[in-house]
Amino acid sequence: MTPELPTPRFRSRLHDERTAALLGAALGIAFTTCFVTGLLSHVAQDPHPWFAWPTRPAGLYRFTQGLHVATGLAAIPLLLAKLWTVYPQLFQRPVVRSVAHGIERLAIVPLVAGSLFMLFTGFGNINLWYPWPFNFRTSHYWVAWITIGALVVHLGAKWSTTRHALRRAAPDAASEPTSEPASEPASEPASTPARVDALGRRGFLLAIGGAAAGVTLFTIGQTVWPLRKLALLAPRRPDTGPQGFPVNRTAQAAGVESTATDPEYRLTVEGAVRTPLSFSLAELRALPHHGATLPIACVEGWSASRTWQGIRVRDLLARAGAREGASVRVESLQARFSYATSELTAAQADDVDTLLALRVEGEELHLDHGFPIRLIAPNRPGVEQTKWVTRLVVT
Amino acid sequence: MGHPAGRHVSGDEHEHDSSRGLWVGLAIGGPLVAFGIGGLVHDSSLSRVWSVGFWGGGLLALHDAVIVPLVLALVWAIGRIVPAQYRAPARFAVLGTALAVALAWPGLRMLGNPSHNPTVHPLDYGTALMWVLAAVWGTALVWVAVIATRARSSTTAH
Repeated sequence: MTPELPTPRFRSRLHDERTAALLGAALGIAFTTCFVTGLLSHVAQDPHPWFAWPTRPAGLYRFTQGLHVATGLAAIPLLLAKLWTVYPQLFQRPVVRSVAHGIERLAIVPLVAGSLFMLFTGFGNINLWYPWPFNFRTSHYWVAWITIGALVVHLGAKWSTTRHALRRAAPDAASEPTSEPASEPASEPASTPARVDALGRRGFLLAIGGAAAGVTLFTIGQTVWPLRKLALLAPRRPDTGPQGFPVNRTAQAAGVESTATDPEYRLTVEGAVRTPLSFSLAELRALPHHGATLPIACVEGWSASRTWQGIRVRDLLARAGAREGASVRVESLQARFSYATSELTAAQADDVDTLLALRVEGEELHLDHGFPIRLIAPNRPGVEQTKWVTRLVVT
Repeated sequence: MGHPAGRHVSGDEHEHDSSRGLWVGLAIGGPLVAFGIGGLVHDSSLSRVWSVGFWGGGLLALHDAVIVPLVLALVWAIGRIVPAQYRAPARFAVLGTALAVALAWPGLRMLGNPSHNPTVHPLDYGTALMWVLAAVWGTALVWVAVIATRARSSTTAH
């Protein structure tokens, strides 16, 4: 006969089904938002033949990725509150009542582990902090599928319970005279007089909602310009850096300080063209320039809009005699990093605002922003706005 | 087959509905989980896959075995020290402080940013955290004032 394990008692009404359902609904919306915007970011970085990432609206990626990071950050207090609410289920006995119950409980492991993993690694990534040995992007992407799948299983299992809990207008825990304090361990006598739950359901949800709103308020300024001064907990400020905005990889980190400033620097246009081209920096400066106001929007969630001046890629392709509808590989001077090259689809290469920028806000580009020239195009992730461009290969 | 929404989460009821919902959820969500595991295995070495599992499991264990018991202990301690009517703002302030410190931690400790990019963590996060904590505790104090005012009004009315 197996000895009975002692199980803690949780007397707070905040561990009830309605609180869990309300938090679950909020978390479900947040996770779905993160999943969808994350998938969009993925296809924006790795174009698929079946999905052409559009060039317009120019700020779409800025919006979706800003939303992705902001929602992920706001989900931190929501997730912690939800897990706290359902924590007593960890001690549920019997551990497994049926096959269905066993599967339901088993599905919670990838759901909770995946949720914590996604928020922790996402938080690490926006801080450029990688204490783990695996590739962030690969693991964040695939664990998202595992987590969302486990969420769907959990939603199915809890659908009936959640629906009933949300429909029934239960009295607020604080208003019930028999309510008990939030989560005091069982050692406290249950019969303490005048026990009123100081943090009733409404207050509890208000506090969690306030925490999520506070997290958003103190971080969203990294992408919402008017709130930049309030971005006290954000790892970036959109108004801080050389020429007044951040960089993700410095010229020193990319190892291009000498090659980018070499007087012998040249830009070449080659590949499927009638006339391969090669320009010195002086020749590039002498070409007709155009302006475009476009955002740099990074996967880490920060963004900044600037007015760029440079040469239209479509003009260079026309000059080189590239066929209509050609796509382009843009190559950087940096040799050893991922994102040293990027691809321009035919639509992106042909867009009037897709520039090889030499100037920003009227000034020559700072070395950390890609001097002598960088790619800037509408609606692209920042990592694909290749800096220190030295070669266009038309395909 | 409804039940009081205000009761504890137990999972004892709705067995039939839950079971049917579970199979539907499993039919849709199961392939997504399998797709994620398959993709992870395909795109990473086996040791990396184990490492992802280790971190996921580790975070789960850290949360369930350390963080939640700590929060429970804090909440309990506040319940012992603070008068009943002021426990909500006190808990909000203490747990809000913990959350703010956790979010500011990489900036405070200058974690990450191996290439010393000066545009990462550009603020004095000690000062920034103080401002955030001032907002958290200010909110809690306003909350306390509202409770006290209501209590006084209620006493006067009687």
